[in-house]
Amino acid sequence: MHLASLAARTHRAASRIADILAVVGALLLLAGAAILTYSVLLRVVARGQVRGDFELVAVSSGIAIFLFLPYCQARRAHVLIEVFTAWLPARARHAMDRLWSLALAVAAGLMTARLLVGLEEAWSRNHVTMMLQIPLSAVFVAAIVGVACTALLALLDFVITLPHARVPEGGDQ
Amino acid sequence: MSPAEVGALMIAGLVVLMVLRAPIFLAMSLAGAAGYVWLVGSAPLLNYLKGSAVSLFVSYDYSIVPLFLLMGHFAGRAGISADLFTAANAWVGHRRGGLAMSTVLGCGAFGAICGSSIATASTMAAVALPEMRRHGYSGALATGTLAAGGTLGILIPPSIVLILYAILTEQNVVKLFVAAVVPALLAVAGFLLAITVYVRLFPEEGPLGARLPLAARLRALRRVVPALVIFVVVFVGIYGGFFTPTEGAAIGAVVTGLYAILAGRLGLADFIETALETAGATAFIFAIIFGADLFNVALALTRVPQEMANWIGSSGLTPYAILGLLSLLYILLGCVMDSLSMILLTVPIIFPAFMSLDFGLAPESQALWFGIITLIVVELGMITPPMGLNLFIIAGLAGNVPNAQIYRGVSPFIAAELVRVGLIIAFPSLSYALVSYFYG
Repeated sequence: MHLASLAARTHRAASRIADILAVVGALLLLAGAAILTYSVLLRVVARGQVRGDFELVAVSSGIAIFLFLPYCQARRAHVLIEVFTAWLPARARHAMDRLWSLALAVAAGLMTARLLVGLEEAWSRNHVTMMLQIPLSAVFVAAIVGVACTALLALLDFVITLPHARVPEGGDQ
Repeated sequence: MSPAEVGALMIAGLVVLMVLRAPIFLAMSLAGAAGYVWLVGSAPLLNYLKGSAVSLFVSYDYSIVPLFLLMGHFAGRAGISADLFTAANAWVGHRRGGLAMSTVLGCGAFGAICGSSIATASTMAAVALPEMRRHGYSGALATGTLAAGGTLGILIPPSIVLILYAILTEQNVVKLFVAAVVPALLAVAGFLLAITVYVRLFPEEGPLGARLPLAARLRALRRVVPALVIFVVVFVGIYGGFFTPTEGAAIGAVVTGLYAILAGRLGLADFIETALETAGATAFIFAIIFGADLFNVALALTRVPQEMANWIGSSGLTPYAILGLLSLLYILLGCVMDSLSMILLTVPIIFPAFMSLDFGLAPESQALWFGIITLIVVELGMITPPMGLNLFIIAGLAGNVPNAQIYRGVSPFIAAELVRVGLIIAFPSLSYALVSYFYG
């Protein structure tokens, strides 16, 4: 019981962090969009261009996507198929959901470990983008933050029993 | 065990995991990882995981997806969907079933600047649902219209599904958008017809409303101006070749955000909400992109896609029979799966097989045609009971409408869509003729 309440409190804090990461990601995405817009304006008006604009957008969106991941987990918005297990009692369904949370926590944990290796390589071999020489290690850091936070949230979902949200809130077709 | 058998096991394992409630992206990742380890060992998998996600997500091609999502959520926040609904309502709202028609027209117009169906369905529901209730529309008609109208968000370009199809099949996304135009207009026409027939059969479910004087109608028409300006700036730019689709999406996000600020509807709290909506929608898609990529990389090692293509080619069925079966498969899959998972999972397997069939079309036309058919059938799945995702969302928003009523309300729209699939299959030029005309 004690563990459950601690986990619930940690989950609230981690969700808060997920919200903040999502807003930071959206700001980065918007910044990339603004630069690209400015670059197109330059091209139309002055036949110039922001150098490497496409790289900036690719990197800023990539970082944003990784920072968005924990939010999706915090809101339990990942889509799953319910129709085949709808007949089961709620307890059984929750037990299955907890099991998958554990599986995700392990998988995301492993992924974090691999991304750390990737970061080390990108750093030591000085991997950079072609035109602007943006270090790829920046993206790896964002990836590690996003995936590790997802792993933590999934682990907490395993520890505390919470009903799965029926409608994927952020889900988008 | 032969690689093909491993491939078959991977597919079976994926199905089992999904049936057992694993989140779809996780099921794909686990089945893919297991196949990968079985085929080439764990060291290559660990090596792959080190950098695959970063190289997958840092991509100019893919950055169009979050940008269009941001634009769509800004547009919803700015009240553009409400404005479009109000404008349509001023012109057709007094007819029998007119509010439902206004919803379809509003969704259609909103779909032209928004690439996602859930953003379309949920923002439109917020304005149209209370109106329809207030005027005594039945729960069945109101929810059916919104669920179907929401799919216009994705059927009408820009469309996240078409963008992903373009990336997976290396087609030109602009041409795919153009190819979707005539089919999209057919969808709107079909939905309007479905409502007309429905209220002819059940007149009490969509009562007549008051007719507005011309001056008020013209005043209401002014509310479509912002949406029209955004549409023209972004899509004339894209279709006219002035900028790339990704640049168009970036410009669209900036312009729509600026408009929301000018309209006084994007304070700090609204921006945070928009950011969270965009984050949820984006992360959901990219988790599936990652899982599907891992699964398909492993499956490609088993040569199952090639075997499938050979098998389909030597099955002795006519190309049209195979196309009919594929469409049926997608509709059935769509009853239990979301459209993005289906596209990301199946297109890499099915597309090569489809392209080996001879319909007497140029390869590019055939690829565009198949993209449009795929788009329609996967979206049809989204409104097909019992699992259609849009139905869940509308059920959640409407609150007290029983499922049976929602199913009844959506059935005329499903009928209209089935007719449309038949038309597009029977007349491939409906999809590619406009492309040939513009890009010859």
